[in-house]
Amino acid sequence: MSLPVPRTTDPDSAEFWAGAARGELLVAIGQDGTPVHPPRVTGVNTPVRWVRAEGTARLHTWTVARHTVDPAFPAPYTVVLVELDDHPGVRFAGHLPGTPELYAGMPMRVRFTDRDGTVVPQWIPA
Amino acid sequence: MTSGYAPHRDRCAIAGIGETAYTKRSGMSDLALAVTACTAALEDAGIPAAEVDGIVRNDFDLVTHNELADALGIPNLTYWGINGAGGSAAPAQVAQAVAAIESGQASTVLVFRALNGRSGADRYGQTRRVTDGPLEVGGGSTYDEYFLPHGLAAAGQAYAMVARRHMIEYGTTSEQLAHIALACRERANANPRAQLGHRTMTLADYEAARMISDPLRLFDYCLETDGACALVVTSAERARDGRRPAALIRAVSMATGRAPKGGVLFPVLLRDSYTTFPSAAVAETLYRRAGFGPDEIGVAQIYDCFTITALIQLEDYGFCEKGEGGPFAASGALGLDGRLPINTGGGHLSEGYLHGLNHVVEGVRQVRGESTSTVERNEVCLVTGGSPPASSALILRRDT
Repeated sequence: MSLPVPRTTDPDSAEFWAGAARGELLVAIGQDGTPVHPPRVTGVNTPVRWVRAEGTARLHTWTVARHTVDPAFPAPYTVVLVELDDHPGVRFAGHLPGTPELYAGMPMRVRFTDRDGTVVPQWIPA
Repeated sequence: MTSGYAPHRDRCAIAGIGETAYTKRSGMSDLALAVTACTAALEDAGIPAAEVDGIVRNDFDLVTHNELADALGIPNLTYWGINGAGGSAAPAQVAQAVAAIESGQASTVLVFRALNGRSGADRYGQTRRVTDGPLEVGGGSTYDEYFLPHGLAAAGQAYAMVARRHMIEYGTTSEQLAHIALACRERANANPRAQLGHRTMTLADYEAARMISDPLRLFDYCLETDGACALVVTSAERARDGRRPAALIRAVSMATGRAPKGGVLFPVLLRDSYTTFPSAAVAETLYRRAGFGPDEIGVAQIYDCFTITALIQLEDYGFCEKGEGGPFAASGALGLDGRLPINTGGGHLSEGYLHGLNHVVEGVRQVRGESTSTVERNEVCLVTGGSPPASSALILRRDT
């Protein structure tokens, strides 16, 4: 069963995925100096540069899937949502196998994983 | 900007309501379901199809306005509208009908939702993702590339993450969520149309049910339903000439709230807060347009795709403070003799999931005094739509 891979060619996010392929977690910074997330061209704060984030974060929320919806992801597994330490408000989802012990605010760090040739940033307890 | 200036106040009404049976397997096409519900609504209103000149559909509906007009024998449509996404639409569909009527683009508008949500190809609660080969996901301003590769596939998983965050921020508990499911089930037990009307539920039953997406259990989830419902919206004047008591539309409201992000569902997790829904912005405008606030509302139909969806709206619509939705629900407030009886037909959790439109139907029944659980304070009923990513609501009032 093939896992879904992110489209890496969208004009809004291609730079993010190119960074991931180099092992860099990139955050788009807009005209006003604040992050634009998800990165996209907007009328109020369009990305003008990309900065490399530290790759550390805190656990914001999570769910443990106990029921299989997509056969490519058999239950149980855990989906986390983390918020970057160095860019408050910027959040990313991630996948953890099984049912790890987690708590709100838990320190997490990025780990770059290969999926069918596409590098996907994942998040694991630090 | 939106303001208290509300020229539509009490000027339009719902003159008729119609439904099919709510089942797991209708054995009917989506069109046949829509025609059945619309025909029943027109019959209820005492208004012939020949008088209908507008249709508003849900963007997830497979039935188009052309097809429905053809099937009902409507001689000419002068207005059609589409609202969505999905569950956010129902009160907004009525709002569009009001806008069409008040601007003179239509005089009598059918609002409908028809779906084979259980037996159809697009079964709700399942994923549409093709799983027989490598598949790129996301792009095209869906932002799904940040979510779907991690195993997020169904709406319940997003709401589970919302529920967990509400627990983190406010100490909300599963038992408090249960009280929403229990209130809906108790009302369903009085409603012969409700899919789970014949099954009682206790707190122990709720707690014993299997976990689907922790912290949400089976009975935190709404039902997958085949069926349809429909409304006839027209001027208050015309409705008063109809067969049934007019349910006046006191006020309508739609809102995205600030910085709603994009996509359909998962990007809401990137909002500044995802434990307050756009419903808070809907409420602010709605109450200003209605000329009164939550104190005047004696009964409500609160969109409940999941228990947590309803719990957060209790806060957003001002029935309790932010973060107090759990204790409010557990206090008995949602019961028939409580401060705010909700989902008096059983709601999406126990009557059926018609994407919000059966809540409007039940709201009309309440103000008419014809609900299977008519409450004491039934003169004014709030009906809300789904949240996030954007939402809508309306207030119905008995014509006195």
